[in-house]
Amino acid sequence: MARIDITGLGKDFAGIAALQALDLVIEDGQFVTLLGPSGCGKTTTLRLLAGFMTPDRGRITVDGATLSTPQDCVVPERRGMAMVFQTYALWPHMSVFDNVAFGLSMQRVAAAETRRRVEEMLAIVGLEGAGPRSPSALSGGQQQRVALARSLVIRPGILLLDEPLSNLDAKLRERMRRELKDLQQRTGITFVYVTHDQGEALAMSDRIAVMQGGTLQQYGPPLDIYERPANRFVADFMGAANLLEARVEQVQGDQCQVLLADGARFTAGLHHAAQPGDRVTLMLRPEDLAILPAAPAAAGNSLCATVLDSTLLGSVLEYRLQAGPVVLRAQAPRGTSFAAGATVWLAAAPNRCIALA
Amino acid sequence: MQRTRITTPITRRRLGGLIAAAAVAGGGWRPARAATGADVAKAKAEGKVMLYTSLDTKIVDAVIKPFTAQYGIKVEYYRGGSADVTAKLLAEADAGQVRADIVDASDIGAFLAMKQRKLLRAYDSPATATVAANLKDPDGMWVADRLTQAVIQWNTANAVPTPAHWEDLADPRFMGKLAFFSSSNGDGAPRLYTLATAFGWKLLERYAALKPLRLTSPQVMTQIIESGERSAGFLTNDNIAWRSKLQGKATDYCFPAEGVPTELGAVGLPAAAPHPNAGALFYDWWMGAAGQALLADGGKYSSRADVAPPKGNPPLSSLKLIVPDNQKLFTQRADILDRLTSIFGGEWGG
Amino acid sequence: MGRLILTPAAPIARRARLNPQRLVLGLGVAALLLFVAYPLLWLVLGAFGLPRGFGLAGFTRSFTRAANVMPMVNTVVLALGVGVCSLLIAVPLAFATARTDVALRRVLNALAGLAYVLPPYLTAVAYIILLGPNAGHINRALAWAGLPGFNIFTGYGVVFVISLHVFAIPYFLISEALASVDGAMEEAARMLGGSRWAVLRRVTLPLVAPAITGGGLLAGVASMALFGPQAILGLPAQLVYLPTRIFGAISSYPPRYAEASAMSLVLVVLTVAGLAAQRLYLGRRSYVTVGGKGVRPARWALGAWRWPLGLLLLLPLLLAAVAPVAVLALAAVSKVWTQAPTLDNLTLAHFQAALFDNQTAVRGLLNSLKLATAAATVAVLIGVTVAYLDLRTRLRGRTALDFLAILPLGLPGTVLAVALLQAFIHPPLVLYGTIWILLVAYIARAIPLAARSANVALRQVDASLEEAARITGAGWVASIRRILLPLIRPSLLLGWLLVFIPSLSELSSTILLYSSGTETISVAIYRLNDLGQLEVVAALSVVLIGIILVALLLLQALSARSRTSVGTASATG
Repeated sequence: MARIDITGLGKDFAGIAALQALDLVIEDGQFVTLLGPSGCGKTTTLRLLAGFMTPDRGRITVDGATLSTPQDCVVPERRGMAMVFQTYALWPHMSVFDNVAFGLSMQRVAAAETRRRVEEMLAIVGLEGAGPRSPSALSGGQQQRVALARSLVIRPGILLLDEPLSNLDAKLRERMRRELKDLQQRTGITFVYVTHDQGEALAMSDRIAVMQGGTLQQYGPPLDIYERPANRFVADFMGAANLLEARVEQVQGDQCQVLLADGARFTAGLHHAAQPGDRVTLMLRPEDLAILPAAPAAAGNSLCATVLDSTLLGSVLEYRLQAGPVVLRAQAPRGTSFAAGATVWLAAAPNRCIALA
Repeated sequence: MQRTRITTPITRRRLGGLIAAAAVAGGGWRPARAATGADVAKAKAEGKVMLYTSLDTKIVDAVIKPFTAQYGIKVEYYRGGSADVTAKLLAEADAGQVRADIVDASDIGAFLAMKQRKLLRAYDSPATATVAANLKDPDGMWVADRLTQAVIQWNTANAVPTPAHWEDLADPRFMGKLAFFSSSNGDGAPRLYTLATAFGWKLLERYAALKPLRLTSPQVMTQIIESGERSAGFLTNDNIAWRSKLQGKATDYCFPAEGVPTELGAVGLPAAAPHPNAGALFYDWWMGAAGQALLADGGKYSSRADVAPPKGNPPLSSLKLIVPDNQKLFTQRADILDRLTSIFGGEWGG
Repeated sequence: MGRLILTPAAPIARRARLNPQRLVLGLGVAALLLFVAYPLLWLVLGAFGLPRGFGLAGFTRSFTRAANVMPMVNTVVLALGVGVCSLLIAVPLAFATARTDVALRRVLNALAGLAYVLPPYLTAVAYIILLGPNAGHINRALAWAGLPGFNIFTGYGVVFVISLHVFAIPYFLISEALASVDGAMEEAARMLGGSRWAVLRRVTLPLVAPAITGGGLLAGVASMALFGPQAILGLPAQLVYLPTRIFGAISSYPPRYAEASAMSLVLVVLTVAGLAAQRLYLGRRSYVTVGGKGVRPARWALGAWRWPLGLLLLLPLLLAAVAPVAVLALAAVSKVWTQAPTLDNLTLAHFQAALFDNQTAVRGLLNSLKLATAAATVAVLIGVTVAYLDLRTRLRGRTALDFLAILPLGLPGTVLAVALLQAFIHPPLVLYGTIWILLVAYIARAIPLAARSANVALRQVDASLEEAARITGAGWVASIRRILLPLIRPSLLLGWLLVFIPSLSELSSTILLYSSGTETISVAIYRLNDLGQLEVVAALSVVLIGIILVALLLLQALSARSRTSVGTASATG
């Protein structure tokens, strides 16, 4: 049981708001990711959660108990949380066993019980028998697991993770994503995960909080965030998006028709209040664009472009195309081949297009 | 072991006459109540004496040893120049942290300063009965324990010409070959002042023109002369020069016939002494015939009329002693130090 | 594999009201205020005549009396002379050891370190034995050879002896700068066709110029504060510098506090001006990359000149570190130091005197060991507190605290003593006459170095290591005791020794603050030297040097070890 309620949370550094007024509810047992570029306030939020800092505004409660207000702040060791650090922060003067057992010794758990729980936890993270070793003798991935074991062995209600995978190589990072998600599901601990990597966020989270400039941009399940970004920033940050200036012509419920500068018309999803004549941004994801050698039969939701070049991304080819003054990106299966200079048409289904405020 | 010798009445009268004007301002020694001496039992209970002294440590060690053997009372000492000893005691008094049980310094001016600040207590020791009345403070705050004559010393191998008079040392042939003593906080200044008042400040200026090497203590000055570093020195302690010659070093010294500056050393008991009884007992010992004899053994002239001069030294009666006006020395100290600074340069504590 | 059953976390409790963090840190702050700020306040008040009265007499006397103005001039001349002379020794030495394959590099470097830790008053005493105008060993040899001698009791002598001590400051500064100049810069210049000399002159020299100027300034500043050699060599030469002048004004009776305080302030101004100039110069013109990454430049192969140059550079180091120790050791075992060390002139009696008989020497040795141990410990604790506040908290006022902690750098020992004397000689806090006032002096003098070492130590430990402990359930005290302290222990021990060594031989402050029973080894040496007991002085010096050497070896072993342990700490943290 650990539900976190963050209300109006704010923190200033040298008079500048690193976090303005954050409202966020994290349900018990969820994997929530705070996502954003550096300086967006995500790490500040995490450190406020941990109790390393006192907020200048707002309040943090866990299961109804107030942990942080500007007047009073429960010390980190009494918040029922644990934390995995970007640098792992393993204590170099202690063995792996002692690192993991530290929290238990702070709780004055008996020696035999400590041994049992540490061994068990090392087994869970796949480090059986590594107890006597020195942390510095382990690989980065193994150190990561020790850090996890150290945090989980004290059975925290909430685990805070500060970019824990950023120091690992790509392959190991992939594997650890799955393991982390798996661990979270098995333990039922509320995970609050900080990263700037949208791929990690999408892969693991139950909820993502996208942050920028100290404010929350959007909070929701990964698919929502990806498919229905609340604004240009989220759309751009959540993956390579083509963003085109457009003007609203008609509004019909949560759909609208927009006109692009070059005269093309698109029907697109609309998730904010808009009126004909409003300026909007049309978002077209590269993977949602079909590249057609000739103009499609149906009018609308397509535009004409000239191929510039292509790059092999692995499973797909990504083309760069010139459409009027803007350069667009579109992905196509590997079998396709459009020569540079060729004129093509780009089309997208209406439910794949979004008009952003 | 009887070491006492009765000096001739002439000596005592003559010495007394010399000192009368200087040492004591105002009336003579009050008729003494019967001096009883220190309470030995209480002293032993205190168990320790802290002595502040400007005397050479070799003499101090010699005086302490039999005292400790006799009473079982440990004597620790703080040794510095007279100005060091005085400045330290004054500073401790400022702090209310006086640690000295007995203070000895070769500067009556210092005792006048301590007395003025009411840092001393009156004590009438049976041991001081044979000290001439004019060698004691009228209020019993201090008593002279020794007389230090400031002599001429030279290296017998390279002092050409051999000096016999103060005037001789002003000879240009001593250019760069002279030494004298004065500490950075003004020790040695009284004897220079005494010499100047007797023979004129011009004499000091002529010495200064010969670029004499200035040493921090008579001990170092004697070493410099022993080693031949310098050929001759003015105004060194008679006891230090005496010891050097006694040890067979290539040095000799003389008490110039035209007069030799005398410095009175004195001893007193701080009012706030932490071990007052042990301090008084040591005072009795220090001023007693045996203690003073040890001083004489170390080359010092005792203030007691019944203690012989150091072996081989003439009796004081045969010397022309020049005693400064100590009251003047005390009140004009700053001016004197300034004048010496302007003549010799360097640091005088002025 | 089912869902792991985890019991809920420990109940969330309110923060405890009694906060050990605030208590410990508060104590550190209080100590700093008491040991540094309070005495400084009294130094300034004292200069205005307080508490005895109020007036400007202290200042007017300071600037109008020739006896006060001359020492000011002498002090500035001394600083300039020492600055230049130190650079004459340090610059060639640093370039040769850092950039060429000159022989004896390690020996040269070690001797420079030794020269710096040797108490300069011992060097002064040793040079009386060597260069006393007529009896000094070297001068006698020169006279025998029909050559003119060198009189150590002159202004040149003072500059010479002090330079032999402080040249180590620019030497290590320049060496460090040379080590951190990216060799690629020099190599690039050579690729472009510059000769070795041209590269040295046009690239390397300008790059380390700030270190050279700054080093010279620091050497000059350090020279102004060295009471020992100024007194031992200067006073017989009738040469008075500000510290000896201040000493004279205080140690004469009646003590003239106002005048001494005002002149102390003059010395502070001179010191701070020098330090500020050095900071400014280094700050504005530092091109040297801190951390010293990059290419290590190839050493300049000297070929046949390796040994001749090595021996030439060895000469000043022999004069600075070897000759004084040798001469003192010889005097310590000689019955009479002026005579040749023949068999029947040998004795151990002086050691007997120094270690057992002479009560000042015995007390001094014990007191110095006690004081240096206690001062190093307290200073390191305060240093850790200051560094912790600076690096680990956002407490308001920590900048002021930092400033207080480096403030004693601007206070020569004599000045600090004058300040402490006036602060602690009257109520509410009377320490004068007790050993505590010496302890306070040593702590205050040690705080800048201790704070600096602690700062370096703390920077090597990432804050996340402590945060990890906190969030894993450790209270502040436990996080300090179980994580931070074990990790910085080697660095702290290093800092402890760095403070211990100079405290063991401190003279400038001690000479004004000691009392009967609280003599130190430095006081015993100084006083016995006053009395001309040079052989006992030499024996005591040998004992002191012995202790210093042991501490130095420990220091070296430790710094080698702490480098490796820092390596592992940064690899994981």
